[in-house]
Parts: sequence; C-alpha cells; structure tokens
Amino acid sequence: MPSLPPEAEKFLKEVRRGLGSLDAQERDDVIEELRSHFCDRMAQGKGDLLQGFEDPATLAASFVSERALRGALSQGTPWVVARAILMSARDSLALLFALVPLVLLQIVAFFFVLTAVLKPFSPSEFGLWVGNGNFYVGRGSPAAHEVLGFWGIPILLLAGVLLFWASNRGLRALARSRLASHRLGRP
Amino acid sequence: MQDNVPKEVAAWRSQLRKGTLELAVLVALRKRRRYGLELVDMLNKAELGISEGSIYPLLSRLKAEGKVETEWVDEGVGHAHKYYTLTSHGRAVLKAMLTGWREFNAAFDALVENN
Repeated sequence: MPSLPPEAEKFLKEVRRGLGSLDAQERDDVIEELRSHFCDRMAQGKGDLLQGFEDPATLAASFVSERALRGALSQGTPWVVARAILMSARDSLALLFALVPLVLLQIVAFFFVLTAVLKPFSPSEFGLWVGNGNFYVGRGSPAAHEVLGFWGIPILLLAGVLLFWASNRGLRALARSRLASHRLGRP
Repeated sequence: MQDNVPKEVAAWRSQLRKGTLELAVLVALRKRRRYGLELVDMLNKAELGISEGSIYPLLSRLKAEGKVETEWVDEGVGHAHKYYTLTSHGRAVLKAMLTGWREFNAAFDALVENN
C-alpha cells in the first residue's frame, strides 16, 4: 500500500480517535476504507486529498452518533437517549435548548418521587412547601409551611411518574427527529 | 429579494438531492457491486452530487440496516477495495422506493399539467 501524505495520515488518525466508541474491528474497517479512497485519489493525481471532506471530528461523529441514536432508541434508558442526542447535537444549539428542559424535567420528576418516598419516614420534613411567595417540593425550611400532608405521597408520586413519562416521550421524539435528519444527511 | 432566488433554489435542490441520495445509491448497486469512490464518482457524474466524505457514513448506515453487505477485494492495485452489494432486503427496499418515486413523479406531473 502506498504511503499517504502526512496531512491525510493525520486526518485518518483524528477520525480514528473520534470513532472511539465503536468496536476495534469496525473502527479499522472505516479507517481502511478511507485509506483506500485516498490511495485511489492519489493514484488519479488529485492534489488536495482532503478536499470534499468535513473536519475529521464531524466525519467520525456522523458514523458514531447514527449508531448511538439507533442503539439508544432500541434499548435505551432516558439517560442513554439523552446522551446519544447530545452526541449528535454538536452542530445544533437549538436542539440543546429542547434537550436541557427535558433533562431538567427528568430531574424534577426524580425529586418528586424521592420526596414522596421519604415522606412516610419523616412526615414533618418532606412535602410541598409554601412560604415567602414561593413554593417548592422537597425538604422544608422554617420560613415555609407544608401544605399537602399525607396526600402528598400519592400526589407527588403521580406527578413524578407523569413528568417522567412525558419528558421521556419528549426525549424519544427528539432522538427520532435526529435520526430522521441523519437520514437526510448533512448540508 | 430577487437576488436570493438562485440561492434559495440551490438550497432546495440540495435538499432534493439529499432526500433521494439513498435511492440513488441503491439504484447504482442494482446491477453490480461497487466501492465507495466508484459511487461518489458515479453520482457526481450523474449530477446527483455528493461530497467525497459523506458517502461513507451513508453506506455504513445502509449496512447497519441490512440493505447492503460488504467484502474487501484485492484487485492487485496495491490496496484493497471495500465493495458493497445489495442484499435481498436491500433489493426489496429499492423496488418499493422506486415504485414510490414513480408514483410521486406521476402525481406531481399531473398536478403541473392541470394548473
């Protein structure tokens, strides 16, 4: 196999680094295929081998995020779905604005459920608190008073589960829309 | 405003190309196996242009979806080529997509004809 110019070797090395989450054989396969492409172009006398290629990180990401999205949708917990979206969203700030609230909702849902679970153990400490024109769920403070009592257990549980379910649906919809945009390719 | 027309149409055409790229690749593999660079050159010659690098993630996806399979072939040029062949699933998808494409074209032509 002919040796490639240093900038092409550097490019391949950087693509390989970006493919870190693939298994070794798949990674080699991708790199060898690109190497073969460059060898052909070099034999044709093409000057700038990298012309028409995106930067190596972006190219690697379009191999990896495709797979990650697919894997996440088939078997993923919400966190795996969120991570896969994040990996595919490097180029899209708008998407992050949708992703961040959904992840926050998941965290809020978790605290609702946690509060409901802790309430029976320490009823005076956990619940829905109102005070200083504010309300919040969780552990109380002297400036606020608890308003739900033991009703808080089913109410917070239900609200937590609903929030979790809704934000999970949102995350999956987002992942699917990313998958569809991958299918159309990048500009 | 008027200056934007060619630019807007160019963007629209680029979207059209992207939307039909998978079909174009499947068609290109209909009669024989091909490797990535062959496909890039073919599509560019047919003015269904694609940038050099973007064919490979697409091919990788088609493989993950079971529409193509690959083999490395050494043809004695000093380096091997990774060839792509349609699977029976890929062939079935191609057939259904072509039907859809023709139906869409016919419907669109009829719309233009009648207006």
